[in-house]
Amino acid sequence: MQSLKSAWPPRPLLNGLLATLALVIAPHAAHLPLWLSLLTAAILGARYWMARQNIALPRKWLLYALAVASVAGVILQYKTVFGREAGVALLTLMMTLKLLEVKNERDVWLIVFLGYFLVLTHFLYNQSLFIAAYLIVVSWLFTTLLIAFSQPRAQMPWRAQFKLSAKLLLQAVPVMLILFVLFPRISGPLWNLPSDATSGQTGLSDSMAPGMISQLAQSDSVAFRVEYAGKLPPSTQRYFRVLVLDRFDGYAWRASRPRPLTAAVHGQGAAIRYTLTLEPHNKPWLPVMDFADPAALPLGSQLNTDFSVTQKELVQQRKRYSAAAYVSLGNTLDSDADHLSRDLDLPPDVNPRARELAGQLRRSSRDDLDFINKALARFHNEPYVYTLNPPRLGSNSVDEFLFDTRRGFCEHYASSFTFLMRAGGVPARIVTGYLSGEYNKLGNYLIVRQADAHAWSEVWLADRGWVRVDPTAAVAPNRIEQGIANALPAGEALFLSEPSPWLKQLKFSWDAFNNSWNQWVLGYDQERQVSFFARLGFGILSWQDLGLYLLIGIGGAFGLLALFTLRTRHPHRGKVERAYALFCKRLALAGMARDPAEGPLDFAARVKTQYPGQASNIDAITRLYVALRYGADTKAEWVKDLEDLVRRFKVQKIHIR
Amino acid sequence: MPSNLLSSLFPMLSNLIRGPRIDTGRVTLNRRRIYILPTRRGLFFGLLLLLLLLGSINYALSLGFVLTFLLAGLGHVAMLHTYRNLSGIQINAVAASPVFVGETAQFQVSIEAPGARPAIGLHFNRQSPAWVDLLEPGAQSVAIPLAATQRGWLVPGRFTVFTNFPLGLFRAWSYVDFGTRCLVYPRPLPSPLLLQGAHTEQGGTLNTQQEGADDFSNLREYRLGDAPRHVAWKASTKGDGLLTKQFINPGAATLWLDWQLLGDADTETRLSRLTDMVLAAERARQTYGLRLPGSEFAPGLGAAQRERCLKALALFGVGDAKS
Repeated sequence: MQSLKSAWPPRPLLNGLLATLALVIAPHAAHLPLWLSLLTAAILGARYWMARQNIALPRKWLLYALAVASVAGVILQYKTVFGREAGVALLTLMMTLKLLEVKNERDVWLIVFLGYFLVLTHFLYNQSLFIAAYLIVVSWLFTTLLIAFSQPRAQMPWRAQFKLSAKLLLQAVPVMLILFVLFPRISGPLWNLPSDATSGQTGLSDSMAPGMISQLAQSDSVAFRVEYAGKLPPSTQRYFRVLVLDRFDGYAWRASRPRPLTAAVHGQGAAIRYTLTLEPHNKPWLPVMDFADPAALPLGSQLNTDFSVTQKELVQQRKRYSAAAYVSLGNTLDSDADHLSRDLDLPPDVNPRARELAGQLRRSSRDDLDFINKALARFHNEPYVYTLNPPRLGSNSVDEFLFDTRRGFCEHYASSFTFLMRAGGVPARIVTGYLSGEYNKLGNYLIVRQADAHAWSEVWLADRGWVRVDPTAAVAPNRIEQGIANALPAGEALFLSEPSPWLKQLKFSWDAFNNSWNQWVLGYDQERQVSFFARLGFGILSWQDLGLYLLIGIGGAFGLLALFTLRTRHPHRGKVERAYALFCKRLALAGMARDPAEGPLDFAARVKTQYPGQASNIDAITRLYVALRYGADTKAEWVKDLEDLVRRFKVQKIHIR
Repeated sequence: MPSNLLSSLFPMLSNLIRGPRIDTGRVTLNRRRIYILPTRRGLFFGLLLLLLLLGSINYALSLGFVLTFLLAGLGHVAMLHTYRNLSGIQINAVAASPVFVGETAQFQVSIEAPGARPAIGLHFNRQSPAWVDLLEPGAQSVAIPLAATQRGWLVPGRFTVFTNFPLGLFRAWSYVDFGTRCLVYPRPLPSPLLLQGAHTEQGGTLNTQQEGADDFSNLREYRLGDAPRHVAWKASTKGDGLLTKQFINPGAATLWLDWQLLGDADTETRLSRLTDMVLAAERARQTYGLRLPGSEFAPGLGAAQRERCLKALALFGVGDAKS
């Protein structure tokens, strides 16, 4: 009895199930702990082996023990059974363990349904086109399994089953599209997202230590994309502000708590309008082009005194917002003396040589502006090198950089320049953000990557307020004018090194395609839905309207699909009619004409009484004709059979009376 | 015509109004008689869709929506295909050969489809189904099983033609009732006193070993165990397989299987014993007659006699003996 249990399901079906499960689990191996991946693989392998060797499935107590051990393992690993990571781990384990007690069809269905759910969990990690294509194939396999397990007796050939499931999925596409476009979207989660829902995103942080930005610059992942309403501003104006770091502890710069800006702001010249699509970075700040127009801020955001823009919630989903920027501002800002003195703070006892240098430069300068220029000139004239791979620095990082290593990335220049300014009595701070980006002509938008991350300085001039000074420009002016790829020495920053033009073209097309995918598929949220229908001329639709259109749409699609599926098809009608006409003609010549009102079956019955010897042929011809002519679907072989039968059909002339 | 409209909209209702109908001739399953409802798996599938939707909303997974809606579309499509898998199927009643109580009656139907229709099941209420895959043109014969538990006419009423194909999420079904019935013979009850209830014309008992002037009676198909000297070699060359000569022994006494001689056993036991005797006499090639209260069957031997006697035994006291 025990050995019989492993005999179901039949081997080919079981193998198909095991292979499909392996495929649906495989991408999770990247984030599941190794022991769990190995355990899952072992269970799949064991199940295959058991069926092959016809070994009995494990007994109930062993299964329960395995299940309990798995849950314990997951709890030990994640300290919880809730949330994304632990949930995926549990689902994977339970699904594979279920394989060890498959007794009947019900168990298989349960596994396949869990499999469909596991497909969904992949999107928590990755919604790229590749993973979408991969998972469509996996869903196709699962659907084929459903078909295979719906045939209690003989199996159709696998080819036919694959074809049928592809057909079913294709026919499901219209309903899917209608639902996707019309199903009312709800903004925001239904319940609080577990803290691990979005993790592992790269981006700027609220502190800056030497080496942090150069590390970020090695990543070509997209930070955000910008579409300009007018023409693209020059590269030197494309400073995107994220954070202002004004507290220095001798090693790292940190941001203070942002305070909302209350003073009025007057921009100079026309504002530059743009729409920015921000990739999720799990932080509350929104990059904005300098200097943000307070009158055109992203919805629900706040402009701070340091001119950064933040919102209350973390950015956990791709966010699209419109804003405007002024290239320069007309009034002084944040002139509050309290705060200015903070922008002079330096920890005592660090970087003594830099302090001494600042003192020398200060003494030889006429005013603040002259001091600033002298400091910049030092970066320009002395042999400083702009590099992605600076040497590591110790506790007196500014001293070591300025006098010893002299090799650094933007954060080294910004950090040491700001230090010199503060030491020389000029209020200064560091701004982190992104610079310039890469223009995609095909999509007509700017791509800003993590590699474009940048740090620069701002100094306070009594008569002008905060003024941007980018010391990197003194060392590597190309960085500002042409982007990072042209600024680095040859041999560095491999992924950004200029590719051949056609490769670049390909890259741009791919990114443009990805951008549309992001905007229209992944970013199709409540806002997009509303604006989509507004653009189509429907005005602003409420969710009730959407629900109504949804019902109409689904009903229409279903009706059309029903017509398409259930209609009787006559692909070979001409041939069929010709063959039957020949049959009737032969009989008419023999003296048995078919009355036009006579049905084929009645005619056959009449003919049979006259030619009982031909009854089987007459029957076969009539049956094929009726099936081809009136049947719901037909096969090409039948047409050939009919033609052959009619060709061979010969009757003697009958002599009446 | 409201009643027409009603009946075309609600076949079930029309059944209630007009009562079950007996189908005659060929039945074509069409929308007037096909019902469709989700299976339990289909309901679970709905639950799965709901969970997928909640997950997609909560985590704002656009591709999650795509998957959810694709599977929702698949559910719609599955409904159409399940319905289509049954529609257009044509069924003819054939017959059901008589069986003994305790055996399974096989109601033969001939089933045909205008195209490929896999995984069609046919069953009587709550009995295990017979499956057929209609993949080729032409009619196929299917035997729908039904346990025979009582002698007499087995009138099973309607049977169900159903399919869950292709995805098992929906079940389409249709009821067909040809009014076919199956004759159920009493369960043969061997008795240690074999043929005790039988007596020969001369008052003697049956002697199956009796030798006599074997007179040739007729030919029948060869069965394993027939003596080679009885094989009709000459007749067998005509191509119908081996034939065996059958003999009756007119010299032997005619055997009477008599109700009255079965002592005080109850009716069913007597009928079961007599049934066994008929079979035994046939096996022994012994001419026999049957006497039941109120009827008598003249002695004879062979399929016709066997059928006549067994039918009489099956319908004894049922009140429908004539049909």
